[in-house]
Amino acid sequence: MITPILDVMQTIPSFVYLIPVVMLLGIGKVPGLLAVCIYALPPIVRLTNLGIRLVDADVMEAATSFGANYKQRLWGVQVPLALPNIFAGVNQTIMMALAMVVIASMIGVKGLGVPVLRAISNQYLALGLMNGLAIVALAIIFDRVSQQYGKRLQKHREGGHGV
Amino acid sequence: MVSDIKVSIKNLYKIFGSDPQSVLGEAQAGMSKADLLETHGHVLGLKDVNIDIQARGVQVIMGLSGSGKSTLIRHINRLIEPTAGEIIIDGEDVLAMSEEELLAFRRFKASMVFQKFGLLPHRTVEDNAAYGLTIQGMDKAEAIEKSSYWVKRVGLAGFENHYPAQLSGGMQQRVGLARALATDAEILLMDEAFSALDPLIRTDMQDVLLDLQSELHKTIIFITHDLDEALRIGDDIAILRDGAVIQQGSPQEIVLNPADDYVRDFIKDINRARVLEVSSVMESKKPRSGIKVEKTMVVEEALQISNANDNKPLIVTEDGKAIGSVSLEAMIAAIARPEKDAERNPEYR
Ligand SMILES: Nc1ncnc2c1ncn2[C@@H]1O[C@H](COP(=O)(O)OP(=O)(O)OP(=O)(O)O)[C@@H](O)[C@H]1O
Ligand SMILES: [Mg+2]
Repeated sequence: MITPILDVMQTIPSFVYLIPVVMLLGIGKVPGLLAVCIYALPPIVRLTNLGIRLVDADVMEAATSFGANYKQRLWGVQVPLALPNIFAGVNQTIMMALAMVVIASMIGVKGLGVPVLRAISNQYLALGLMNGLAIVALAIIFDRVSQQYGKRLQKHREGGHGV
Repeated sequence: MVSDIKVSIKNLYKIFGSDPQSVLGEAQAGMSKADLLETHGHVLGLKDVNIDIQARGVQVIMGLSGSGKSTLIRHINRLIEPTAGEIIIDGEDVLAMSEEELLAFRRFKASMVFQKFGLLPHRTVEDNAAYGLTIQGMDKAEAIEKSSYWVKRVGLAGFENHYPAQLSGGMQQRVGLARALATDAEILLMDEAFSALDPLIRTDMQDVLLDLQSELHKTIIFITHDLDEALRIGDDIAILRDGAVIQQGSPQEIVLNPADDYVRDFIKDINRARVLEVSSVMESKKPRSGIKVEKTMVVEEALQISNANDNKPLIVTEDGKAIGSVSLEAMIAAIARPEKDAERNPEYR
């Protein structure tokens, strides 16, 4: 049921939904945030879903056999075992959100996107380059931090030979 | 009289497919697994299974791959729903249990050990062993303390903080066993628990299990496709083929009177001398003199004793009283491998 929605969210050009968003909510931070969410959320939803599906059926069966209920299975088994995929999703989402800063600045969101937008419209090469690189630097920092955090949550994968 | 039957399985059928109920009638009328698959595209998983399982004993369920062993054991804790039939445990119908009752049953009454271990890879050995207790709702520290006893009993002291991936297969299954024992469940379900282990480790694990069982007296339902394992740990053996039980009995009965060629094939390579007890091969006449042996002694041992005493017949005793005798010839005849087409049990053909 949710897959077609995700498909639409991912394929529709962002300018298309900027129009109704701006019409309804005007210009500012809130519509900007909404636009970013529409654009950036699908990967995390998809990858979390995939990760949970890929959880080893034998482990799930064992949990069930000990009387784990729905919640205990979800939080005790599925989510922890799906973490690698969930983190891949988090990562994608962060990257895509950053990619949206320039577009979001078009509807009045302040930040690094604004100078980039100005650089584009005035053909200021140096300004565009510097701010573009700043966005890249941010992306790299977020990426490393989130990956490191994900690794820390998955201590058990170190030095083993797979279960 | 209160019977000592812990688990009673009655007329159990399981059919896999899109509409099992529609073909149940034909299966109940006796259609074979192959025919059912061919004409209706449904798989007959279990066919009219009736087994009474004694409390505090080891019930082995044996059969070749695909015979329905895993399907059967999963009915006992309802990991699989039957198509028809009854499962009564301690007088209570498992199939009539509500969701809540079923959870409680799985938490407190029956625990399971799996062929592929089914350990939680993100939890340490002690956390895994405590899993069942935490699911019961026990506080984590208390659960770990209580289960640490079982971690030690299965020989994993010192490995409490290791993750499953850091352990060998044999050690992982010890964790699986500790996890199942920690909940104090009366029923232990073991689906080919030792099949993934190499032969030496497997014997080790059988020893661990037998040792624990001699003091815990749980009702153990043990699946295997290995007859040596079945004979070694089973008090009673049920043999499955194509989802139907074709013979149930003590190891002695199965070795002495295999029901058909399928069972005969199973037992043809076993060391009969190590399975048969002297009581199974004795005659009732009681010689006045001779060496006394207990009736549960296996033939292998009795042969050695007889051989060391000029091959004289031995007196078989029960609680110190003579009940019969065994001659060397009788013992040798009993351990000879029977011909496949021997006319010993024509009634089964
Ligand atoms: N979910 C299912 N859907 C369809 N058929 C199934 C399903 N589960 C089991 N079967 C079939 O039921 C039969 C019994 O399978 P089961 O797994 O119980 O055998 P087994 O005796 O445990 O074999 P093994 O020794 O390989 O574990 C097989 O023919 C199998 O194909
Ligand atoms: Mg199986």
